[in-house]
Amino acid sequence: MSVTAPTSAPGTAQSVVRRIVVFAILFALVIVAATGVSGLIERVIGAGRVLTADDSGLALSLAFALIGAPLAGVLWWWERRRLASDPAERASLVWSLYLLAMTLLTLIVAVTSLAVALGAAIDGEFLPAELSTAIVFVGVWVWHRHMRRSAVTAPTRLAHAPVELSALFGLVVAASAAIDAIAQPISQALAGGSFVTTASQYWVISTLQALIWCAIGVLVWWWHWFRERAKDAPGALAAVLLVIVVGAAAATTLFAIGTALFVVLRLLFDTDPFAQTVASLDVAIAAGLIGGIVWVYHARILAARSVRARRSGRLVISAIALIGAASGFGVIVNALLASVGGTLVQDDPRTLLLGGISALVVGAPVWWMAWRPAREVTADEAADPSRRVYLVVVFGASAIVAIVTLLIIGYRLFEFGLDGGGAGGLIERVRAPFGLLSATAIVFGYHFAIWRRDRAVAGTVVRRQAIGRVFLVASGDTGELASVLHDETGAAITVWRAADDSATLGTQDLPALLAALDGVSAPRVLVIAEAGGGVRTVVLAD
Amino acid sequence: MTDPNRRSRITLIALIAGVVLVVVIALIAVFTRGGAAPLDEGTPEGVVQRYSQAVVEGDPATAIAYLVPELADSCERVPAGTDDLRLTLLETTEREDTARVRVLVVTVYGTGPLGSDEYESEEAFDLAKVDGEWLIETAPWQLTVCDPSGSRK
Repeated sequence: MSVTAPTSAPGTAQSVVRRIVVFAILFALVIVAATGVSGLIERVIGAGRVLTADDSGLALSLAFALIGAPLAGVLWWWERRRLASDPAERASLVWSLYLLAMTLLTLIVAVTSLAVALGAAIDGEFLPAELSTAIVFVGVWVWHRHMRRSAVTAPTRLAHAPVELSALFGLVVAASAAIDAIAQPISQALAGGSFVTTASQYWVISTLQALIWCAIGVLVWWWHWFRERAKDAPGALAAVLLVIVVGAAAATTLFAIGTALFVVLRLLFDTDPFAQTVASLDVAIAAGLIGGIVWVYHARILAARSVRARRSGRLVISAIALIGAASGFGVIVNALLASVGGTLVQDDPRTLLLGGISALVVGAPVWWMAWRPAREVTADEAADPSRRVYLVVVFGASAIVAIVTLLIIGYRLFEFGLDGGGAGGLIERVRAPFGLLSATAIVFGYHFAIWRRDRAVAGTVVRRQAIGRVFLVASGDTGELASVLHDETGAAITVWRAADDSATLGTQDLPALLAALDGVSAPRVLVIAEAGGGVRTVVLAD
Repeated sequence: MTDPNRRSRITLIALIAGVVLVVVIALIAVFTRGGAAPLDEGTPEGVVQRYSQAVVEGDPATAIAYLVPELADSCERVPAGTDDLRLTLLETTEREDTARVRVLVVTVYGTGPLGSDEYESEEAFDLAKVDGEWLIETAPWQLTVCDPSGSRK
């Protein structure tokens, strides 16, 4: 992980505080001005529809627009001059965070109001407030996009973050709206195919509204993913977001498949009415389809990324499938206990059992494919940090579940011992926590065996990370070099930007850098770029 | 195959065998079980079982037959619930003319592959002996057929 320290100017603390104050005020002024202007536009486009005029609202909009907008303009004019003249200003984290927050906020507000306004238009309503908010916030978004891209004001840190997070927002909106849009016709079809009744107009409209959300989401995603190249963005954030998207899509898909299987099993083996059984099938089918598309697409992108990102993606899917399979096993134990408890009146434990079987049948094969327990583990893989982290997380989660369920079971046992009551009551009360506890015991037992095996196998591997942290002193764009150097050495990298412009380092200097660091073993190493090319390393004392 | 690899594989096989065994036992137990065993109709818990069974199965006429006459004769019906219920007998306290049956009521209001959504509560039935037969005076709200306040008018 690379940490880039900003170019230090005299009075750093003062300039940091000054930037925080200036950007906080600018943020507030821009929002105030946008609210005021959208209030005024709303009155213009909504004129003639107003039944009772609201003078205080108009006064507020006028004040916000006429005071907020000029002040924001003046503050921006002043700040823009600083950005143009001082490179440290553009390299400041506060400036990057301001742009990130403003880009995301205006995008979210614009998308939400536009979708609501268009959705209402389909239903025959005209919402001037939402429409004017959408117009103004799209404008503010375009303005800030220009700030991000203009050579004079573009930030040098977190440069890709706004684009990556905007693409993620578009994807989430598009996927959830698509699930909604597909689920509604399926629901109608399952309800008996009453497509052309008078009442059916309602679901057609809500489906169209979901399609509008979906179209806007797709547009936002496509624009950022392809046009603004979030797809190819370098850096750790892009990889982390990709792994998160793959994990979330896998979780959605697997849960949807599990639910669909559950419905099918209930139709075959259960006695509940048809309409009740298939009630959750519409969303399950839609979520399975959309989740699957998102999963497959992003898994293909992830396959082209670094080994580390690929391994993380695989481990995340393995964890999700493991949660599903283990919960399913817990539910099966729960159903088994429900069938042996001495009850007066029973509902059917079949429903419970079929649910558990669906979760186990979906979770277990996916876990098997992602974790591949049958293959031999090499020493290098056993020593892989992400695998170690995965095992520690599994142990931690197992410990938490075990502690909570043991407390509940202990409480019920003592309650039973002190108060009496039938043994059937005891089984009835502990069956759910006991099911979870037994699933946790199996998960813990298996991963403990893996942990011991990994330690035995990896014992021969020399620790690759001989250097704790590298302080890299250089000018120019060192971001990519720092990331590659981190991958190669395993050391944390801190970049101190040199004032001397001739002391540049790039990825072409990597072989020389690695040669200089070869054999060095120290917690901290200083690497200084020489003015004429080449590097000098200084091993720091502990 | 190296020794550590072999040991972890044996663990895996043993655990999979355990999981499969539990699943098979659960399948057999759930699909072959014959419902709750009927209790003696002459006992308070036997009456509670028959009454509750009738309510759960949507047979209020049978259920009302197990109520004391002052409740059954002027029965003001309450709307039926739709949630699935499980009743477990906790304890019966029997006196000369009255009895109290404590039960655990589990109300299931949703199901899914990761288990069911349910909550449990402890409830009690009060019974009275009328002409040598146990009849129900009060029932928990989930299992009420006749409004208890209506009959007192």
